[in-house]
Amino acid sequence: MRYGSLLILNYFKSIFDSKANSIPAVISIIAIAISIFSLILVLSVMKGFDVKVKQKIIASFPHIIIKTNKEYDFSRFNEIKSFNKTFESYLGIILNKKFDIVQIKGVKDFNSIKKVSSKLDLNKFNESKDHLPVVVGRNFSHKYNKTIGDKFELLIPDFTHRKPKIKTIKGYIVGVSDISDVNTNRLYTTNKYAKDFIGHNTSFIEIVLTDPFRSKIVSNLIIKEFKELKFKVIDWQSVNFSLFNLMKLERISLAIFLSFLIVISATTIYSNMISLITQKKNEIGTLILLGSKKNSLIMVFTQIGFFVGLIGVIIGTFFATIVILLITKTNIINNLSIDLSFYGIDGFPIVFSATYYFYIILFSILIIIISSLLPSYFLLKKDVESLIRRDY
Amino acid sequence: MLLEVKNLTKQYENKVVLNEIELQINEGDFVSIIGPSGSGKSTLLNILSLISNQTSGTYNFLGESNKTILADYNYLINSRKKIGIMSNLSELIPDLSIKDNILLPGYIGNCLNEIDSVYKELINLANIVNLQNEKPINISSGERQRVLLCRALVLNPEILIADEPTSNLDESNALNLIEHLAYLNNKNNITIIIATHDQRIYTKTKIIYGLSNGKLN
Repeated sequence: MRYGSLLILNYFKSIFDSKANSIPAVISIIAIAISIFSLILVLSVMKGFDVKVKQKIIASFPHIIIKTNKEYDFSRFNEIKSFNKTFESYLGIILNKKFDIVQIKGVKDFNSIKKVSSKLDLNKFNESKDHLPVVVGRNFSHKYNKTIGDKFELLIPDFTHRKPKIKTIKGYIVGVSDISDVNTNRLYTTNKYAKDFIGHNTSFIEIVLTDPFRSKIVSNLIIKEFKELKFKVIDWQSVNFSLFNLMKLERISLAIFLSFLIVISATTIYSNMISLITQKKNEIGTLILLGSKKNSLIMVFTQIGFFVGLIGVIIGTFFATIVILLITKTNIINNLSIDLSFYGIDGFPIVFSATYYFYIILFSILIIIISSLLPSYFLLKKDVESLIRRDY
Repeated sequence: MLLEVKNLTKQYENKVVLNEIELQINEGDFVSIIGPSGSGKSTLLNILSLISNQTSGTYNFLGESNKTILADYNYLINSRKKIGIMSNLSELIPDLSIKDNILLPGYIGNCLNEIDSVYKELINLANIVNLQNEKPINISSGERQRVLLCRALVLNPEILIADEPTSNLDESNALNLIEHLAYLNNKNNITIIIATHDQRIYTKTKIIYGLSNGKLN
């Protein structure tokens, strides 16, 4: 056995052999394990929120929107999965004698709306020219207790006159969709009906991509191809830039604050090492007298502190991984009846991120090395005479 | 000449512990420095062992000034390997076995294989073969002194410096230890310097110096 290993092994054993040293060492291990566990878990949840929110946006909204009334053919772009012409506007609605604001969205035809449960006979309905046919979402239907066949009043702002006016038309629910809209107050009608009833002349092209995360690149390709669309193309990442930045900032702030936990835990290793080295002062003096270099002794005591901290890192990482796996691979959150519908996302927001693991473990190890190195460095700077002198 | 001390003074704050010491030690000498407790024996041995520095005067260790040696850490480590130190202040490491304690200089110098035969000879000579796997806490003070002596000699040093080697030893153990030292001096021609106030020891040495009030006679 080599000299360094011999000392590390024996001093490491001696820590856990005596109560005076083992209790502080165990406290250090627990403190570091809890810090690592908290940091990994909180950041994984924050990252989970980020991922889930992005998934929700990608699933609910087009990935690129182009504000134009003209027709374009984007089928030559391989990365574009589908594109549709639509329009969006806001109307007033009077339901159950209450006023509310709703968004109306134009679609190519009613069949293009996801999972429309049933529809009225539009031919029969079309006989009445003063009713705007709309499809509503399931949430809208529940919220206002309205279903197929129900009518209501819609108030359309008309800015074509010098003095803005409000035009009143009748709305008529022709279908209820299972679409889980982020916006509950959204009505769907066809582009044709919208033009006839609302007279809206600003429309959009909504594009869905095969890889939504390449939206910026595809946007630039579109602009490059159709120069007149510059300033009219916007992708989902740019629209939600502030939200994503805010979430990132929140993650970084939490990471910084929780990192202090690791720093505070590491101070326990610092004090343990001071205590251990002070106890072993005369032995260290003897080792130096026998020819041991101070640097090799600094390395020995640094490694002892490091191994104590490493146990905490391993325990914390292990338990954090177990909890993440339990949440992601089992229904434990559902079984615990934790209601997450408030956040408008499906499932508990937690993800396993190897990058986070890497940075958290690297940071912890660095802090542990520093807190183990400093006491050895400062105490072993003393001359050998003061190290071997007995303090009675 | 192995060691040469000229006009050496050591002072702690205002207290003069060693005053203008003159000392010459040659190869094969068996020297005892005697004096009462607090007379400065350990301080002088610490300087001779290259542990501490003098306030003034010169000390040449194997022809080189100790100040030069102490200024260069690697040089100091190599020079210390030529001295075997047996002192009550040099601890046995409690967590290591007696064998590992004796072999520590070999572990440190990464020369365990080279000292194996010396180790075996020493433990036989010191009659501690049966203690090899014991921990220091389980051995008597006489055995402890013999273990310290073995550790001091395991690298075949040119000089052995022992500070109060018979303290805490009964008559029989003390005489036994002295016999060992005399044997080593005669057989291996090791230079031995002992600080003691034990009459049983210094009468066995070839040269006796008396240290009193910081002066060496």
